Amino acid sequence: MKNINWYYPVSLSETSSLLEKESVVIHGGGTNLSGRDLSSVEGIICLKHLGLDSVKLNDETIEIGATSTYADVVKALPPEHILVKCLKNAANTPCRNKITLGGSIAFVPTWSDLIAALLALDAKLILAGKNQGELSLEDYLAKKDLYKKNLITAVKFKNIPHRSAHYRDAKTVNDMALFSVTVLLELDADVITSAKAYIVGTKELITRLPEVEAYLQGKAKADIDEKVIEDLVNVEIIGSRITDPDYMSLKAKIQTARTIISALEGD
Amino acid sequence: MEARLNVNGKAVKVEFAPEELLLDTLRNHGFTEVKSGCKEGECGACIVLLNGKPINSCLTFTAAVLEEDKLLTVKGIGNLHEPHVIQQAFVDIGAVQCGFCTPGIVLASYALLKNNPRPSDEEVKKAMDGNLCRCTGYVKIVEAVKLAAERLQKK
Amino acid sequence: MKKYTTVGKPEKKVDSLSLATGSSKFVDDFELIDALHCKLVYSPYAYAEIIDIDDSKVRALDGVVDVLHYKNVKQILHTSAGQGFPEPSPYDCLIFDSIMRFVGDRVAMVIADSEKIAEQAAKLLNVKYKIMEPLFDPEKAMDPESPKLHDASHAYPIGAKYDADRNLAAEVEISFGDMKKGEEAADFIIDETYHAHYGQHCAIEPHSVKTMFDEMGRLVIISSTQVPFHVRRIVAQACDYPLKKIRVIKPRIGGGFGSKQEVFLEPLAALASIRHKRPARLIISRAEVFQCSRTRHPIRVRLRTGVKNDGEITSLEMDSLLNSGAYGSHALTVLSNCGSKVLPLFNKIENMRFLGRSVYTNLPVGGAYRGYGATQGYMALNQHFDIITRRLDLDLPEYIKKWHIQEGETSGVFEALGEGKDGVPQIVNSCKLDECIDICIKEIDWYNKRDKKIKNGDKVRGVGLAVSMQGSAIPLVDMAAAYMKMNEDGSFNMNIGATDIGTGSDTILAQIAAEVLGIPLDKIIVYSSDTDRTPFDVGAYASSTTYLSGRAVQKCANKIKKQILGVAAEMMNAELDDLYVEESEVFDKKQKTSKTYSEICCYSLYDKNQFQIQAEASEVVEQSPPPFMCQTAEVEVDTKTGDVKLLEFVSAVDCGQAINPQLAEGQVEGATVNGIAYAMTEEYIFSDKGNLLNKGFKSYKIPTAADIPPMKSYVVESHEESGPFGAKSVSEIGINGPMPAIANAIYDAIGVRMYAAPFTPEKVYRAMQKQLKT
Repeated sequence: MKNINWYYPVSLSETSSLLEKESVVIHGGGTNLSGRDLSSVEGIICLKHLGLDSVKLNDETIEIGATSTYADVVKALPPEHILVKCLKNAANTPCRNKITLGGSIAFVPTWSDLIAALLALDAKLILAGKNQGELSLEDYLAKKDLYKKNLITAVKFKNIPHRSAHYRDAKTVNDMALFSVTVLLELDADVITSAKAYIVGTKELITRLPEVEAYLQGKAKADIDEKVIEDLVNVEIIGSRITDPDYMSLKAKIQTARTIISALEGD
Repeated sequence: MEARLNVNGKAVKVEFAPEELLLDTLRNHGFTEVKSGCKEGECGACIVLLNGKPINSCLTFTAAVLEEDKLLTVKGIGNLHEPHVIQQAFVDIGAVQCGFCTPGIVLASYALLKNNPRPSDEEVKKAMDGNLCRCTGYVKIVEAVKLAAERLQKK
Repeated sequence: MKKYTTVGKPEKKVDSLSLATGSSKFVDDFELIDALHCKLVYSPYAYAEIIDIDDSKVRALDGVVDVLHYKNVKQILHTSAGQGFPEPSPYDCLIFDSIMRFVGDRVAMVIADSEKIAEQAAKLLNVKYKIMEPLFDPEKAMDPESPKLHDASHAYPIGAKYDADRNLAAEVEISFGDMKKGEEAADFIIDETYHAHYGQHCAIEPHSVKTMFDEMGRLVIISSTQVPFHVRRIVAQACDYPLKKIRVIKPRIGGGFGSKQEVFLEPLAALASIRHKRPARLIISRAEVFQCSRTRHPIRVRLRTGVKNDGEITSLEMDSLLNSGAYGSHALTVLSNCGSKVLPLFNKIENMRFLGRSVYTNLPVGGAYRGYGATQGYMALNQHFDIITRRLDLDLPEYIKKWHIQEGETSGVFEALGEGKDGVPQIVNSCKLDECIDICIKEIDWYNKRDKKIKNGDKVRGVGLAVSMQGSAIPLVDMAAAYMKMNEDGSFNMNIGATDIGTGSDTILAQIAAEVLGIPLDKIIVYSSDTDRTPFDVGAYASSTTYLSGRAVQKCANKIKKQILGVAAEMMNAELDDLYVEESEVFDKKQKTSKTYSEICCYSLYDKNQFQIQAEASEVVEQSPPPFMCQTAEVEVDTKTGDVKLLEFVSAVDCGQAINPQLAEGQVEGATVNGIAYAMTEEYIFSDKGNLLNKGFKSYKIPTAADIPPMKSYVVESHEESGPFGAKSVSEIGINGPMPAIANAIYDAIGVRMYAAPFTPEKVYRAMQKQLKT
């Protein structure tokens, strides 16, 4: 078995040149990498010296370094923030101490609790390397292959008042979600001015629900008919642990409607 | 590869393969109190504290642990002759049955109480959401952590 | 209740501190020098014959020492079941066979200088298979056109019924009275079929063995086992190695629950050491534990009862079909227990028939698992009571109180159904089931919730109840022994074969000895489970340790006490009748003198008429007094999605005198949570080719502390005259009630009967839909 070289770059430019090498992978938290077959890996780039682990909050923006862990984010942001709601039960405590935002964006599984929240926040990624600069998360996910040699250094999004809710369909509290529903609402008085709704774990992996979002526009809680929302949700839930796909589709409808009501009700 | 790890306050010279997991490195260097239960980050028997935070050593590359990182195993917080308040509370309440999960749970509790000296039952349970125990049903474990919290407050 | 000095007290477990500080050694903590590392290669096919194995590439790899398989290992038929000899299980397995009977069956074992090399080498084994049509459905196993998985030569050493032509691994049939008359006397018949499914023990420590030669050239096996003495014997048999050259030691082990009442890895590691004269290490991965070790036996239980309008059951027929998997380990005994631990509960049924069959399938192998057939039987019986009482609008708790076995009563089932042999008749001496029921219905607030269908938005609530009994050891079959000797500071060494698997038996047994001798617990130095240094004990199973090993210890301690009194009498020139023991001293009530234990022992070791105060005792029991339990559950069912949330769970157990109430509670709590998980989230998912798909904790879900419902557990004390200080067992029974109690609660909430678990949202939803259509 070939010997794997470990690299500990101290600057972004050093990291970028390392990324140009053949068969290198990035080590963020390591929880995903440690379970993988490394027989074709020649180099591992450890990001610990780069100082990318801070969470910066101001009135306008929130910027989270890519090696911030789920635990870091849950601690740094207010409890009603959508990211806190999504991440606090994502994986167990020791895993939340290691899973990084950067790692979870670079690899999005069907059980991701993170990705929908970031999309709902219109998050932008800050990349270092060949195509460095800012890029919307949506664009990144659509053209991932283009950015294989880039390093995500941070995620940023606007610090807007919002209400949110996150539902994860799982067998135990910290089980990997079979699917999840993420809802972010902006309101004026109690009327919805903007709605973002996603289901993760579908055939497309991430499914945005534009018809549901359109339905919610301008409505208050009393105006919402859960049945209408249910009828607007038609997704296929996939994944190796799904034993009854038709049931899951039905559940996705019901839980989407409920998650929206939950978001409206606030904490 | 070779490195120096700071384990329980002491520098330890370790030799390891590049893809080796911290769990195996620690056990190979005598720290057998760190247990291997599943090697997939679910059971928590392999939990050690890294700079005060519980992590699964079975999901951690030794090569990613730096010399300035501080590792703590269950022997680093107390021993047979001078057990930690938490360890003694587990003994007193009867929260130890087979004991295989105990080092990981004791460390998870230690980290919890350092950050939250007066946790509610829910907060205790949440702090242990990465620890599997098949013997106790968790009831006495939660009681033991609450008792330890009480005793630590009195000190 | 009697007052004791250490019995009945929550004494701290003797090994707790050592475990909590990480000092205790488990198998993999013992250092080996120059060890061989063993890696197993498994069959990818459910049913196949190995035509040829080409191990040349494996042997060519640097660092590989050997490869074992059917071509180079003696073919000695045996059972892996850790039971008394001759085992009541068929001799149907070989260390390495050329026939593979399930995905996960053992093809070969690579032995190498390192774990890494062994893993690499295992991939290089070249195996040619002839794939055969597998059998997965136990209901079809006995059909003439089904593939035959074993042959007649795999029969039982004890001559129990075995029919390889019908894939029949075991068959048991008993009956009393006249079934036809019984049914005719009934006003109606309730005939229902229930299913108990696959489950895995999930002991956090995987099965682990280390073998080595000691300085005298004897083979030492350090194993994570519940049955060290059975390990020694089966290794000697299967490896054709002299038993006198084998020593088995059980160190601390990380849980068993029945999974380690099995001898399937030790012969492999032993062979590696025997052939290459080096220590060997064999520790299986979590995936291997799930697929290739042992599981709970799935059992389909059909209950057919004739019932009168006043509730009297005039006839009961239990027809159980046990899926043994690829091999027949425990196939007869678990099957028997499905009837023997369940049917005596309602002992007034005059017409009764139990027909049980265990069949082979090309699926993972069932073995011992806490509850041991009773769990599966109670899934059926408790739901059946629920159905009967609802049909007749009777109160379930009162119904059970009216008809269950009472103190002073017996059941014909005790004698009729044994474990491979005849059963043993017995009278129930202690039974506080009524008190247990009262506690459970009070704590769950039964009458304010039952049949009320209390709503909470889309959700509706219900309560359910289940009762059970188990046993305490296997009468006339199992034996335990103890040895004690005294030291000059008044302390005692106690060497026992009994196996502490985390249950605290070292502590309990020491408490019993300490109580007899009137000394504090810390004056007993316990050493257990070493086939060289401790006397025989069958091991930790059948809930036998407190009752059977406890009686052996009590007997032994009494012999010691007699010797102490004899020496004291000599020292004080006293009459034996005037002496009594209290707090490590012997008092002469007539002369008003006393001697401390220390003084007595020094005298006996050094002074006059010197001898070592020591004793041994063995015990075989003549009955198996059942503990009794009631459990109640409150659930909330989401009528739109089928999600079931457990709001509260209450358990109350009558285990006789709890030797250590803290440890007894711990057993109840642990067994209950295990039972709840088995009912709610645990299941084996197979591909259509018989491959287990969910082989890890990520996909086979058991709860963490964050998942447990609010729970209350109560120990109700009774006094079992035949037990040590009145004790019965407590370690298994708690796992029997959750599944039926929760099923009954779900029915109470939504009127849907769940005949099979786990009660996942999709299963409950589908059951609701099915009901709507009918």
